[in-house]
Amino acid sequence: MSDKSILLVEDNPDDEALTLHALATHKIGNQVAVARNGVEALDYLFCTGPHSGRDPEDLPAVVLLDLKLPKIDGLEVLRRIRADKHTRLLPVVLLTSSNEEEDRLRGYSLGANSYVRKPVDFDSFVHAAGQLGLYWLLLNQPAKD
Amino acid sequence: MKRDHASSVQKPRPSEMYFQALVESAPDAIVITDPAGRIVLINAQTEVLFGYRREELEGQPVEILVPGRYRSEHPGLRRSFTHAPVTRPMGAGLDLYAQRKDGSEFPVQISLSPIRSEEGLSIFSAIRDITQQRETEQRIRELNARLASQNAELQAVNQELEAFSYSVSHDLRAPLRAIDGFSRILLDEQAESMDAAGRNLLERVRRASQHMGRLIDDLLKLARVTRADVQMQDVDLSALAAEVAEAQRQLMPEHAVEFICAPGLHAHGDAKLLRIAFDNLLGNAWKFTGGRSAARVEFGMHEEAGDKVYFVADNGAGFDMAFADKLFGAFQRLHDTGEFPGTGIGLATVQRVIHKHGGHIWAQAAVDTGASFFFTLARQQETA
Repeated sequence: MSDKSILLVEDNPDDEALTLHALATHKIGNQVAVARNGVEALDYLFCTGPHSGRDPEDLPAVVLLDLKLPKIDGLEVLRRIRADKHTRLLPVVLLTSSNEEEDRLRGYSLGANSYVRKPVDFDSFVHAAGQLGLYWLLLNQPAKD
Repeated sequence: MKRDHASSVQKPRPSEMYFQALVESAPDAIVITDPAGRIVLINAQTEVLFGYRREELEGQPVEILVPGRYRSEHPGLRRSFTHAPVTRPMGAGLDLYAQRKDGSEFPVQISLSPIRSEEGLSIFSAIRDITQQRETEQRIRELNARLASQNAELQAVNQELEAFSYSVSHDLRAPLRAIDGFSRILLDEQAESMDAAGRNLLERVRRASQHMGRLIDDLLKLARVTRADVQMQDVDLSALAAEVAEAQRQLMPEHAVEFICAPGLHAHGDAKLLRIAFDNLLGNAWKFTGGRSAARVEFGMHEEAGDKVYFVADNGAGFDMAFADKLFGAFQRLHDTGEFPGTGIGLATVQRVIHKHGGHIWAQAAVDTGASFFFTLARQQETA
């Protein structure tokens, strides 16, 4: 698990703090990169803008993506990730407040790997974060090593 | 009826008397004109509609009954009709007007029939005052326009409700998560520096925010039910109830409930909405039989005066019938949250589902004995 990382795309600073805390509870905290909006997320993944020094091969093991983001919204970020051949197969988990069916349908149609609803209850949130981290960083086999 | 011909001296034949009586008493105004377009014969209704005495009309050109602005072209119209005379019934789609003695106009329908006689071609016309009919048509147009605009408004309101629900779904939950989450972290990390009273306060903060989360979820469900387009199909109620009961069993495996489900009950309804209704009714039944050692929940149907009345009954905590009218109000609860948790929205949601099906719902209960919820669905199409 040491060289695998997670990209968390989250604009809400409270949710960011809680997610990092929850992941840290499961000893995953130190490998999380945070992007606060869609533009930052794409810059990170495509190594452009402030992230042009990054290695394009250094992709996270999974992207935790919120749907409601300023500037470019979550679904558009997902669309662009799937449109680029470098990131086409990158696992994306939609981690969001909404449980509306339309959001789930749209997310899956655009190629999300998974859809997890952020619970209000923090214990459940920690549990969910742990399960996500453990699954995507340990259990899941990526397309390429 | 007077005539100014010499033939008035002769005694009228029986068929003529019959004709005269018919014409005179006809409900429409009758006007017969000679080949030159002069009024030869009218009846009582003509006098009533136009306000003339028949002496004033006999011998006059028929144009006297036509509104001033059309008088000049009317003789020409008569001539072309005489050239190619056909029976023209009322309602031929023409927008016609007539003029009374006092100069006022009224909308009419006119039927024309050519009559051949020794004198040539006379024209028999029946005239009907359609003022009332026009007014009714206008009112219908106005009502339809109002209906259309109300529909448009309703659509707009529904769309707003949709957008509102959607944003509630995202925006209200996030701060709740922060309240619950940071309280928890505080409890975890500051445990040593906090006494039992402090921990208790934070626990209350957490419980309140979690309760609010459930309230939001239930309100959203209620809003969704309200907005939903009902899609009717044949629904196997027995199978649906059994499925929901099984889900309840899995949610609360420690709580043993005997569930009796009447088999083969079908109804015409929206499967999704009915599932929500059963979720709530059976969920409640499971919840309120919590303390019972021999908990029993039943779903069935009995016929009452030709109507199919379905019921979900339990032998649980029940409620006081004195408060029965509060049962289906949103946020209304009849029990302590400590004893039986809940948001008070479940039954309001069930009621909305039942009402969407055109049915009724009511309840019977006694404290500590149990509760029964009865409901009907709209008159079903009978499939033999």
